[in-house]
Amino acid sequence: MINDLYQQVIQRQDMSSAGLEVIIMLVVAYVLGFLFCYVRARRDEENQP
Amino acid sequence: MTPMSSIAGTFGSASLTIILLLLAAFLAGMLSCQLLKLLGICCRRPRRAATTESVYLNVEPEIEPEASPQMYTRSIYSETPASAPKPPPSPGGPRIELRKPAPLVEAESTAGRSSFESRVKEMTGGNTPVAPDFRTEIGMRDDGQEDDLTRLEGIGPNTEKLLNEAGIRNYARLATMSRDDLRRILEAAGSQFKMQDPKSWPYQAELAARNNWDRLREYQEFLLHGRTR
Repeated sequence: MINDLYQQVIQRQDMSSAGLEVIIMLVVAYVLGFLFCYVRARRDEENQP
Repeated sequence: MTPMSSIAGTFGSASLTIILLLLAAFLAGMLSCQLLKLLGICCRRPRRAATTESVYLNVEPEIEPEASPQMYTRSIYSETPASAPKPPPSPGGPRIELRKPAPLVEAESTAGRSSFESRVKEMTGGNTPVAPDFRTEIGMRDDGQEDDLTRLEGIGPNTEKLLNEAGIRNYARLATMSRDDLRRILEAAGSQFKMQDPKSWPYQAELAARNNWDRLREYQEFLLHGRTR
C-alpha cells in the first residue's frame, strides 16, 4: 500500500496536488514506527523474568 | 506540509527527500512510543490488584508477631551478609527481636549437614522428629487463594507464571518452600530463570502472608539498596 502511494507521489509532475498521499504515507510510517516500538517493548516485558 | 514542485520532470528526483520524510515519521512514531512508555501510559502489563484489602486499609495482622519470633530471627540473618547494615527498626510496628541464630542453625550448611543429621539421629535414637506444620504454627492458611506473587522483590510476571505452574499460587505456600526447592524449580525451567536468586522469597512471602506489608517494604528496600553493589 505504501509502495503504491510512493509510486504515485514520485510520478507526479506537481507535488502540490499530492499532499493527501504524502500525509497518508507519513501517517502510515508514523504508525509503523509506533507499532514497532510497542511490539518490541511488549516482547521485552514478557521476557522479563 | 509545504507543497513541493519541480521544474525538471517527475518527482523521482525528490525520492530521497520523501524517504527521509518517511524515516523521520517512523522515528517520530518510535519516539512517541518510548515517551509513552517512560510515562507509564503504554507497553506495560497491568498488575493485578492486591488480593487482601488489608494492604489499603492498613489492618493489623491477625497473628501476633511474638507467636514465633525465631522465624524473623532466622530469616533476616540468613538473607543478609555479615557486614551488611541492619535495617532500622520500624517505629510503632510489630516488636521483632533480631537475634543471632543459634549455633545449631549453622549446621544447615552443606558442609555440616551430614554431621548435623548424624547428631540428630544419635539424639533421637534414629527416629527423626516430625516438624510441626509451619503454616499452622505461625497462623498462615493455604486456603487455595491466588496471590500476586509479583509484589515480592525478584519475582516478575514470568517467574510468577512458573511458580503457579509448580503449584505455588499464594504467599503461604511460597513461605513454606525451601531455597533448594525453589532453585530446582528455576533450574528446571531453563536458562532464562537460572540466574535468579530465590533465597529471599520465602521470607518475603511469609511477611506478605502475615499482611506485614510495612516490614516487607522495609525488607525489600534493604534488598534493593542495602547490599554492596
